[in-house]
Amino acid sequence: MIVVDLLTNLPLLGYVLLGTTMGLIFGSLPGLTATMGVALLVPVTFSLDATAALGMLLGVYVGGIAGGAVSAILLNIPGTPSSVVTTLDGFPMAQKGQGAKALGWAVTASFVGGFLSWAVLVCVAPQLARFALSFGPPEYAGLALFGLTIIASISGKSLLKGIVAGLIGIALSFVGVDGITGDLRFTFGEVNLMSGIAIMPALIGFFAIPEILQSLTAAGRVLRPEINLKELFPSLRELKAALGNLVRSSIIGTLVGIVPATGGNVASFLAYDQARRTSKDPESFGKGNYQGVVASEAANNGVTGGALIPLLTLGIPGDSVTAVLLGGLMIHGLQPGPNLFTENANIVYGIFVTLLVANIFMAAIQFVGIRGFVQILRVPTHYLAPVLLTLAIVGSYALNNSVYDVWVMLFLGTFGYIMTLGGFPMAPIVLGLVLGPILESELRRSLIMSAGDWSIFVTRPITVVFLILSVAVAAGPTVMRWLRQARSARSTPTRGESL
Amino acid sequence: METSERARDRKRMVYQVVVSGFLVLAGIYLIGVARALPGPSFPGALGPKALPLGAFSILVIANLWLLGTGLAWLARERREAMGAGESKPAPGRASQPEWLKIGGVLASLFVYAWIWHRAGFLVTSFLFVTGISAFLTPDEKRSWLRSILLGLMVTGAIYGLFYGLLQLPLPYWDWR
Repeated sequence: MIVVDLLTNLPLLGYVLLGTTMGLIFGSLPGLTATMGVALLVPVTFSLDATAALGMLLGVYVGGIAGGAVSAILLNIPGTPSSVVTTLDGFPMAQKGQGAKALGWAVTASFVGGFLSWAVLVCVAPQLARFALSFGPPEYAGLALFGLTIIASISGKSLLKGIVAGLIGIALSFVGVDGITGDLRFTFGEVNLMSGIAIMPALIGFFAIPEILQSLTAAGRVLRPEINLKELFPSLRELKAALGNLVRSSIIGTLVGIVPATGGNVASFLAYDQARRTSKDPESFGKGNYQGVVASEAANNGVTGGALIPLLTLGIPGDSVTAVLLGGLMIHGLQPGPNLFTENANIVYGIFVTLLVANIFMAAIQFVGIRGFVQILRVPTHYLAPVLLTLAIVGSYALNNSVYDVWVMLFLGTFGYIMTLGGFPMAPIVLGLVLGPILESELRRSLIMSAGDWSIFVTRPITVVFLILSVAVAAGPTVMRWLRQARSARSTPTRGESL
Repeated sequence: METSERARDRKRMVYQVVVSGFLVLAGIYLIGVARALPGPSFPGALGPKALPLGAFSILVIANLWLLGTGLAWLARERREAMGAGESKPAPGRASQPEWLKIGGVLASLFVYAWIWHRAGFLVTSFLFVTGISAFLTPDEKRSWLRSILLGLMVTGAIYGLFYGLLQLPLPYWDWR
């Protein structure tokens, strides 16, 4: 009955629609993130009742995560950190004239990821919340190490260049106040560097500036293909082929979402890596395989429901957006935790219903809007480039109102452009920037916990699983190659035998 | 076809050498900086310098390898080109107008960022969008009217979205 009342409450649906639309705008513009969208709209929701307020904020969350795919696919500029992986196959698809298909798959995968994580939230939230509590520093360190092995999957032609790019990301993450001792590192006396290198200016610099500058060259200009809108909706055959990937990536996203302090970017990297490894055609990843888009988008939207699980059941935010949402809940007099389900059941139902509605609105708005979005590929470079460059500057500034961030973006962007000319991939830099700080701080915390005893990493089951996975992923391809060579050597008859 | 592929490879190798060379030097310098950081607060723990030292060391080694292989490739390519009777290696540089275009855009971007927070968003963004659009438009298609209209529309739209709708402050003209 409560659910029917909520679904027929037109003003409530209107607020969710407004929030989702705002979220999509935030997500698709580089520099504006879902976190910022939710934070900006929290004051707007003061006058609304709690269900409408949370519905609107959840709409921004869902729309903000999904919207990042639009600029990632059409411009090779991720709108949010969680859509970095979408660029790997989304943009090559757009270059091949499959921009609409890539966007269609991004929307479908985002919806499936969001829906499955919603189902998990509704059905088994309390049980899974315990999983989040089992993560301590050694488990986080193991997860970060495992995440970094994904560099092998996203390095393109040269693994060594991918490793170098990953190390640059990790090196950038060292800048600022050391989180454990409070020592200043690599700030060179610059006050603005004390808070470290913000991820958004780095992301815009490493992705937007090289891409825009490349588009000004002859090689960049020829890539303005025709757009085939007939491929907007995935065919049944393709849906069947992508089903396993959709479900697996959604589950990865949900599980990563449950683990506090991780987020859509980590989830999409992990899901992409798994999709590539389990594919019959791993070589086509990075060259325009729609399964890459599916993995990334299903995972990052899978995070939305997952991140709400520890928030609602334990009062622990699963990612940065839910940390802001926690503030939104408390402003409306709600205390997240086990009692929320018994004392404010109506609000919990409201959250469940509006999250589902936000996912439906997100898919509907995007499917309608794709016909308009893809027209961006028809805009000549001499008009598009100045617009994107202005957005890059404004987007870098807007996050912290910091001119310093603009300079960081410009210097990293210029260096990123020279790196792309040398064949260095950009995605591992973001991976290093995101996972580097987690690896370092949690590794050091683990050793403080164990008084310097490294065996802490082999005595905790979850950590051991991550370590085994890391070794398997890092050494697996080499071992498999040796095995194949040994097998073929055994099966090839020697000269003596053949005679 | 073969020549253009060779030219592309050569260009990539030249930039690989430039980037790797820079990263080797930067890595060595940063190892020096990291060594000055404090050590662990108690035996067995990792201090603030442990991971930076490890990461920068790997960075230097990896880039030394890339630098070495890049230089060896360029030397071999040069020998092959000389052996084939070419007076100089296949051209590896982009044509001059392309360089001018990219250099011009980059320089304008830095100037725009420098003036932006002094002269305010509206005036500088209008001038930047209009100027870059006109600069990038091929001569036969250039229309100042279109570029000015684009400048007005883009500046207005971004200002309306960021300042009007989202209430995010943008730099204004500081008359003082």
